[in-house]
Amino acid sequence: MKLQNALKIIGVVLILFLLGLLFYLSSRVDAELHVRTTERFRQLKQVDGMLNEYVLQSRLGILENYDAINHRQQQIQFLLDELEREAPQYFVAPTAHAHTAFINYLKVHRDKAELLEIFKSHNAVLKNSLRYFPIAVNDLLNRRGLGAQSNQLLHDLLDDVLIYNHVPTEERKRSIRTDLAHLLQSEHKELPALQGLAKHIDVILEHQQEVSEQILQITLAPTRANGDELFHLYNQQFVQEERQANLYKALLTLSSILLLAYVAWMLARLNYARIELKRSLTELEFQKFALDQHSIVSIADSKGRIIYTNDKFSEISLYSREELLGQDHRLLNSGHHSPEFFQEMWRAISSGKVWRGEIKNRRKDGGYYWVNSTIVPFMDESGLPSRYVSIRTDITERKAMDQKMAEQRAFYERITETLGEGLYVQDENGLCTYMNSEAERLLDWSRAEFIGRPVHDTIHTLNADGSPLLAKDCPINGLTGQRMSSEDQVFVRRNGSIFPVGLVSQGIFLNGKYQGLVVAFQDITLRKQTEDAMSQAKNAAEEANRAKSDFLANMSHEIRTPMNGIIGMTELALDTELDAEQREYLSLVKTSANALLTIVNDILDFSKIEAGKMNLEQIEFSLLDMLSETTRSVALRAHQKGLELLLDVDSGIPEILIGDPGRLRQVLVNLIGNAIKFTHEGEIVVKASLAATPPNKDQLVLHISVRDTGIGISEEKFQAIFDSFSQADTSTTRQYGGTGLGLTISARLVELTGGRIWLESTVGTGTTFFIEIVLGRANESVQPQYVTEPLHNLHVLVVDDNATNLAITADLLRRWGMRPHEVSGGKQAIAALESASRSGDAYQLLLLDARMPDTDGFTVVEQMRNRLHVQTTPIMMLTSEEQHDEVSHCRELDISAHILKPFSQSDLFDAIMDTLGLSELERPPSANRHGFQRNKHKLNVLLAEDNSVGQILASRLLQKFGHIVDVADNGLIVVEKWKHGQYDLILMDVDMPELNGYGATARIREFERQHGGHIIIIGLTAHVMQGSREECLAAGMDGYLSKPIDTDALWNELETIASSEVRQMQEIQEMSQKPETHSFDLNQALAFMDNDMELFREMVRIYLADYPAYLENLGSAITVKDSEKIRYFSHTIKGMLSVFAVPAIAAIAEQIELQPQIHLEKNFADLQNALIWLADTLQNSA
Amino acid sequence: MKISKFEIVSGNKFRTAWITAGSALVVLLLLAAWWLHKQQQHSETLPGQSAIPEIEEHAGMVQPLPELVKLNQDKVSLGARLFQDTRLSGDNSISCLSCHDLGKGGVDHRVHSIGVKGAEGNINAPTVFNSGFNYVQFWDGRAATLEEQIDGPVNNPKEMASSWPQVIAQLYEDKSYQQQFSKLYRDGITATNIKDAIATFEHSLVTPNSRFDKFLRGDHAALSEQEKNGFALFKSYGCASCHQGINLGGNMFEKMGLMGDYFASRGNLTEADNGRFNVNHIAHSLHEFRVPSLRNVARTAPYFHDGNTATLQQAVIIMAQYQLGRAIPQNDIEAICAFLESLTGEYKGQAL
Repeated sequence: MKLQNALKIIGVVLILFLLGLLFYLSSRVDAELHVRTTERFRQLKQVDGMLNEYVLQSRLGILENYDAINHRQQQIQFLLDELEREAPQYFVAPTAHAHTAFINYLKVHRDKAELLEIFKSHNAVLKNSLRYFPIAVNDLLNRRGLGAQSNQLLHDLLDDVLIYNHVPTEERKRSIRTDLAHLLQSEHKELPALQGLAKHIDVILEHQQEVSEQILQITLAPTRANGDELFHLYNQQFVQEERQANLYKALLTLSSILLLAYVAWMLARLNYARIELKRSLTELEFQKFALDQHSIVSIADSKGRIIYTNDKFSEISLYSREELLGQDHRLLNSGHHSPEFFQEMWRAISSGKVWRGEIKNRRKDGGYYWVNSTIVPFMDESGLPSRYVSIRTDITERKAMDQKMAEQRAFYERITETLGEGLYVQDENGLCTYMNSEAERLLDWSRAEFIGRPVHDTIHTLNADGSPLLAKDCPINGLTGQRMSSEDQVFVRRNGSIFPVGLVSQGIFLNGKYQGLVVAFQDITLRKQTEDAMSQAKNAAEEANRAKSDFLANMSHEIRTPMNGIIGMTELALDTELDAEQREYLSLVKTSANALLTIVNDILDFSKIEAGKMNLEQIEFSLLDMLSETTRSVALRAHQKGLELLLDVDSGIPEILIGDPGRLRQVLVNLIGNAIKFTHEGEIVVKASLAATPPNKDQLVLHISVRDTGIGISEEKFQAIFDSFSQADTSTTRQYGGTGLGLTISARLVELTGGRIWLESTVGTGTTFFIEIVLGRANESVQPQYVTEPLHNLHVLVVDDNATNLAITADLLRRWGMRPHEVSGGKQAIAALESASRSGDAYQLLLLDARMPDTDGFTVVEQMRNRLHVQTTPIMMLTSEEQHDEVSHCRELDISAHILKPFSQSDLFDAIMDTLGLSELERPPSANRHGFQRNKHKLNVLLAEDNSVGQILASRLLQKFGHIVDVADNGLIVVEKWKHGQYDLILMDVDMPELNGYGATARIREFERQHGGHIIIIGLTAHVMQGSREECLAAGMDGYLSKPIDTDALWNELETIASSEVRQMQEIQEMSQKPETHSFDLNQALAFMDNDMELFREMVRIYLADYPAYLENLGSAITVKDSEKIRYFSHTIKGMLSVFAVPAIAAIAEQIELQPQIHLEKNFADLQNALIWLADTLQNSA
Repeated sequence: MKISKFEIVSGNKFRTAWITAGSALVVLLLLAAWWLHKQQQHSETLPGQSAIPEIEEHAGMVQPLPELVKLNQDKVSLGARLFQDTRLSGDNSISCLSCHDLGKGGVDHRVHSIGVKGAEGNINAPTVFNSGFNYVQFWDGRAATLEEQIDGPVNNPKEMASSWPQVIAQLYEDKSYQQQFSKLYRDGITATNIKDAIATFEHSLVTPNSRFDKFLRGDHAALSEQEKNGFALFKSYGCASCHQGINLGGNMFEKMGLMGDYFASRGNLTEADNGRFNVNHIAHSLHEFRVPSLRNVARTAPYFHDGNTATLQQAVIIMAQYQLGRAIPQNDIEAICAFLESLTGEYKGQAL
């Protein structure tokens, strides 16, 4: 590294040195200097020329001073100095090309300067002499005393000298000298002037020549030639150097560019590196920050001394940074880890390896904390660790949690160990992850071997029957998320033996993802054996029980059948002419038989309840209807004893409820019966109201109370009377009879509905029984609506001596918006009527109780008519019992209506609406309001009964009500008779020889399925055990009656059937109303005729010819309401249609046939349309 | 972040890179600056005019002295100060002014000047006035310039008997000199700078506005008839052959005793009498002396290199006899002397 750096620095220095050198070398050639030097040479030449010129001028006297010459010389000297000074390398340096030439050149100039000095001096002398010579000659000539010869000589001299000056010839020189010699030899030779003259002539003669010579030398001095040579040499060197310098320059430029590029690159790289570094630092900062936020960081030096800690470190260790710095990490040693642990750590990190581990440390306060530590050693250049950076995460909580979890795990394991059951856990791949000791024991697999194995393939490979069980079919999969328990599985031990297991498995799901399965199981080999034994025992017991039940049922059947005969025959006998004694006996027989039947029924009920076989229905029923019917059915008995039986129903109770009306009715009959039985005078009030808080919105709690004014029950007997076979007093049994089972049954029944029964009583004053039962609330749409608007503000007079009844009635009327005026007697009623007619606020309706003590209802009517002349006011008579005298009395008095007490709310409403002629505004029709009208319609009944007593009994009973009865002895006869007769209904005894009721029904239904139609079949059975009805319905019957046949029950059953029939019919109607249901399948029709087209055409022809007449007949029958004809024609039409395979149209005809009272007009219209459509279709297809 | 890049710039490498790049850049910048500087220098001198001293040249015999000489006045002041500073002499007794008294026509009116410790020179001191117009200095012309000339008296043991190191050391002690020098010269007090300053000062010692110069400039009334006559005689007798040029002399050498042996007549031949021979040792230079300027000649007696002639008339007579080879009538001598008197000019507006 250092060497590299040194090399780098040396390299850079070298490059710089090279650059400097190149620069120096390239700048050695100075073009400027060259230009200047060249100029100097030119100037030198020029100045030298001028100098020569001045010299000549000076000689010729044109130039009168030497300043100019001196200046030129100075200039030359200056230029030479400049050359020497400026460019010594070219001229002075010994290596210079022009070195010698320059020295020569200087010498030439020096020589020339010297010549010039001599010239100046000589020239001055010559000039002086030349100037003075004429003057001197003149002076001599002017001097007197000179001879002519001398004069002549002087003149000659003058001429010669002047000529010589210009044309210096040796001849003239000699002549001058000769003349001068002559002159000097003359008499005047002593004359100083002559001497002087001679001197000057000498000067002229000598200097003229010298000066001329000097001029020649000066002008011919080789300054110019030398200068040129010098310049040439200089230039040579310069060019050479310039060439070199250019090379260096190029090199310099190149290296500069390279260097510059390097620098640029370097700078760019530096910049990039700087940015990178900055970013890295920032990033590092962030990372450090993040690290510090998250981790406990410390740095130790090579000796392990702490040199840095972050805040987290102090936070967790409770040591301040100052306390930590310089310390060893041993400060935090908890003693938890062995010395080897730390040795191992040191070995790792001092060899440069990263160490990871979990360390328990001790805080300053002595507490402990766990850290997950990573120690990273930083190596110096010599490869030895210089820094240890420790990054730790606080895992104290996790450790604690681990511990807790381990404890918990141990805890649960202990639990599973003590469970006594085998337990294993498998993961989502079906591999075992856990098993307990019990599982080890049971499966004979050790934990070590079993964990990790596929559970299914190891222990669950077989079904209980020994067939192989594949994993994909394994029922223990937990995938449903449901807890699964099974006792049908077998597990395979390690040795291959099989044992049955009882197991419970539960899938484990995490965030909806299947994680695995927990299975707890036990060896149930023993239990299985026990169970098998128990099962056998149970079966035996059940068999015995069934036998007992059957026995009981049979017993009741066997008892009831003769009882049926006894009672029925007794009744029939009573209808014959008898004397008083016979009648009394027979009446006693009937009473006794009835009592016996009651007792048998009670015992049956009781035994059913005891056996838990009493099932309760949940059906919709009208509480009001049920109550009124119930009270009405016992009203006779009450009235016979002179008791008022009153019904008070809270108008807030929804009319339609869901529950078991039959059982409720049974309870009420029992309670009211008891009340009547134990009351000698007064009244019995049945009151129904709603309890305050219903359990939920779909249910309500109903309170029904039966209050009497009877003998009362002492308080200590309150509970006992509900116990089996007990009455309030054994004496009462004797006095009043009965089994004492009635209340017990009632109580059990109420309890079965989830209600309760209790009583309040005061001996001598009366008793009130309370029932509280929970009933379902029927759908809101089922609730009937009272349209009460027409009744608003109607002024009504209500007259009743019974205060309770008066209050109930008035309350109802008020609720409907009427204005009732209540009076409690006939006299008060007449008074009220009088005052009303006086005040003008006449009563628009009178509700009169027929029976009142002093002035009864009829009297009131008579008085009103006769005295008050009130004729038109509608009157409703409230009659207590259906007695012919009262009803006929009403008719006599032309009383609009009479209503039997006790009446329900709807009874009263309907009666009022009828009386006021507002029936059109009656409440909307409700489906179950329709049905067979009692006593108004004679039914054609086929009675299937093998028992001759039963045959006679039922026949007489039905005939007594005007029905036509045909009897069949067994099922086969029934079917035959049905096929050939026209019946409205079959009463089918289920127990018949040859073919029982169920079988006969099945055949009939089968036949109907093929041929259409539906005959109502009502099952008859003496078995009153639960399930008889279901059996009957399952066999295809429409209803069920228990023997002996009760007419009311029969009608009820018929009504029920009718209502369901109507619903079915309505559905069929809705279907048939859709145009596409009128479909005609030619193929099917042909199939009916054995694919005989000829036959089909014949049938079509007959149909087309006959159907209009049939339709017309049916129409007229409907118009005259001849039900017989309606049924006949509709039946005929139906039969006619059956050959054409048009079930939808046939169904319309069938409905008219079977239920002519429902939608007759509409059905007829539909049938008409359908037949016309069929006619068209058939015409087209035939 | 790529670790490798990070490593490249980390630590020493990072620093080295910076240093390398930085120094390289600095060197380049320096080179560029140097080059630019040179370019600039060149461009300043590029027009190529040589620094040849150009002087207006006239074909006539004489020209008037310039009334104004363009000089660096600071240097002139410094030169003037040095000129009268005795510290230039070895014992601080003699200054230039000692022998070249500006109040005495730039001479000391002695035959030979007296140097340090009373040492007597061997030649007459020439005037410093208009010495800048002489083409060489000293009687024998041994100094080409005034600067060169200064070396002579300073080092001459008979004159100032000093040396430049000594002089510089002396002057260096004077803070004001240091300031003055450093203001004018980058290198402060040096021999060259001292000589430059003194020479500059000497160049300023010009004496214009003599009556003769006025005459030359066209003022004919500036000279009297006698003086005008003297000027004519001066020319016609041949004096003007040598005493020509702006300084009426000082631009050539001439032999003393052309027409007669002056030294034989005078006797006591000295080494100084050899004249220019002492400089170039050429035979014909024996007794050659620089022809002296006649400016202010009336104020610079005694005359000739030997100071042997005390009056102007005597000097004219000697010149006529030995140089012109004739005898001049007294009238003419007087006229010539009158003319010579008219050559006295003014220094700083004052006639010498």
